[in-house]
Amino acid sequence: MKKVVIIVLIAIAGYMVWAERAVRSQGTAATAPAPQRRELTPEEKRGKAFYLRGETASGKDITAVMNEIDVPATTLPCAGCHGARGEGKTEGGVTAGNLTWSYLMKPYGHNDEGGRKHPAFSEVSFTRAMTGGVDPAGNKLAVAMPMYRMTQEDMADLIAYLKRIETDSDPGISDTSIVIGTVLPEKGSLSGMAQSMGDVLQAFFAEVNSQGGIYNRKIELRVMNGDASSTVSNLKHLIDDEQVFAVVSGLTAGAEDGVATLTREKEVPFIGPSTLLPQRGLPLNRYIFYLLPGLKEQARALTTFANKKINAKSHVAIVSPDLEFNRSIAATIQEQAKKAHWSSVEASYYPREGFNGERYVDELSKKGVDTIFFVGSGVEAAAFMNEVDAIGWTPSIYMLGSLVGRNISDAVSVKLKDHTFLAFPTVPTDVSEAGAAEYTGLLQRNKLTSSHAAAQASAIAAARILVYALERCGKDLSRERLVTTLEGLYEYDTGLMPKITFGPNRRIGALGAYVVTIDPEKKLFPATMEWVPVE
Amino acid sequence: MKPIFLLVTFVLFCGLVYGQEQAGPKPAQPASLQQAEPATSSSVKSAAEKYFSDVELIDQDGKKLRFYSDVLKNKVVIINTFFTTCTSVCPPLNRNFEKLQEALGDRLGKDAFLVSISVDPETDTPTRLKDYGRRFHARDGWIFLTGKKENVDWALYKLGQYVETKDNHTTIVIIGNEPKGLWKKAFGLAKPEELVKIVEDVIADRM
Repeated sequence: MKKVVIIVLIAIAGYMVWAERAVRSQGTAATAPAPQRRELTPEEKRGKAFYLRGETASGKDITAVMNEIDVPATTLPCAGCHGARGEGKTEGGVTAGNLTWSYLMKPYGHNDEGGRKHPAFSEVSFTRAMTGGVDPAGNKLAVAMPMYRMTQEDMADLIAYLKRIETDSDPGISDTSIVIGTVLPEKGSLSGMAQSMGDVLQAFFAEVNSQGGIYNRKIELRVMNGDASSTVSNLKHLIDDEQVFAVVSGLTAGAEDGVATLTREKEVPFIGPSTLLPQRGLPLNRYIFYLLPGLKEQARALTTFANKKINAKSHVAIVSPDLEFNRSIAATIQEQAKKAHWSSVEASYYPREGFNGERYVDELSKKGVDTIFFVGSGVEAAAFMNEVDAIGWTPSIYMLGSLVGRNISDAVSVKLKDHTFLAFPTVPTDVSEAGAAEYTGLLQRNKLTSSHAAAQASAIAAARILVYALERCGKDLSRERLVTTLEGLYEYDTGLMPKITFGPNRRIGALGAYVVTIDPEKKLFPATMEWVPVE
Repeated sequence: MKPIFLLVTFVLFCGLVYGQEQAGPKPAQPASLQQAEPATSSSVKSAAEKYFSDVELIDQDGKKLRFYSDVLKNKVVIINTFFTTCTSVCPPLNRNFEKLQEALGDRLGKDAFLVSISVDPETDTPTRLKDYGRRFHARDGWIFLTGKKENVDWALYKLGQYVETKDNHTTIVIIGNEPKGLWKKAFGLAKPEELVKIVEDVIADRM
């Protein structure tokens, strides 16, 4: 497992090498006191759980009765129709009224759209409406409003919360601040990168704040350092104790499962985690927004690209180290190959130590293989390529740039240059002039040095997207609103990476990969490149 | 004003009324329908087929279905409209469908089919529909439909259920006996037993 983590981290460093620029020093990371926000009372908290999700403190189900059908209140919670803030809404011709207590109590009563008239509610008449389905004038409520079988205690909790709902907000928001968290392990091989990313994040948000912040709220960044092995507990600390509103960027590779579970469970948006293995299981985790494709998405783009060159006579070999991590990528390629009905596909796995390039090249070339997907490390790939070149063989070779690293360009010979294809999540030309200027400007104004430039760029990109979405949310900010706003992001240009698009079913901003070829004479930049989207 | 929950049922359209223009917004006709008809059509299209058209839809298993020929033809269908991210009226609407499914028992998929059409086809992928159906214990014979937006819009329009924004979708259930040309509308949030009664009437071709 540890080995996997290391590979992942090296790989990140690998693709992050594609972008370079200016200067850096130490940034200071002052932590401000927690924002002023009155905590909910235990009563209000219980009421909120019922309002939002139909849950009770006792764990005993409350029954909602609609048209004489009993369903648990968890299927028909108040917020489903009346909105998370009690504002009310209309759908399917059914209007669910405003439930904020100040509205219910309006002394002159209500004239509902359907023509129903009644005086103001009181706690007693509200209870009667909830349990008996009649308004204060004794009219029957709309048929879509269930009757709830609930105890007096549960009702008291709910009323307590409705009195508070207008001034309740998600954690991390006050009138003057939005608290954002990030996890940047500082120990081991990551310390330099963590420091560089932390510096630019602090600087970026400080500049946003100095320009007035977001609707007069300043962004307060809480950074958790520590060890990479405590990523999940660090994140938990940020959410539970520091009460962050959302999480941005950071180094969380190796803890993908834990991070995904935690954000889903706590419903905390996380924008731009760095990982090569985005979690894409169903049902979709609504809270994580990845910017770049992971290795599996890149492998899929590579096979999609290769499909154009493959015909019925092609003989495909997948060569991978016998490691769980690499095998999972090999499996993705196999899956895609099967979907595309490639006729001849074989996979072979070599022991983790002592890759014998000569033997493999000999074997595969004799078998008549003409297409190779190489899923090993850069050193192994280079050894393999050298052997291929030595015997004058020219099969098509497909590799993941993030796995083999950019030094692979040294192994691409003139003979092989038109036969070697590498997938990358981002390429230098993604950095626009404006993006580069913003990056260097940020560093210069804040007296920072460019180090781990690609990691810094990815941190800035994530922060930019967060700030952009927060601005679009407006003053009435909530986590739910942030998530739906991010879902509306279409081809957003950070100037630092491919354009970012999210959607209700899409949580990877740049969903696809560049497939590039290398010119051995001008190693730094791709000779040709093509963005290949995946679905 | 008397609230609308008194169950309104009436004959929606039958026989000669096919082809009548719908009131309200109209979506663009899908490109697939704009091609000229092949001159040598071996079978003459029925009025219903011409009216409903055979736009391509996709079900929760990713299977392509033609609207008239595969979904409606020679069937009794009970149709509602919904979207998977709807938290207000859709859950009770489909809860009612679940009750209908129970009431129909083994007859589901034979005597009658439940059809739930998404008004948000761009979000509602087959996988999402499948997942949604599981929440209501949907069995074979209850299909969930999505597809290209222009196609779904057209199918909805032909049912009088096209809306420009998803939140405006109705809570109306359409119950049709296609071979008999009997179509009724019912209020989707009505008591299940009342819905069952109408469904039984339509199956038995009783006005």
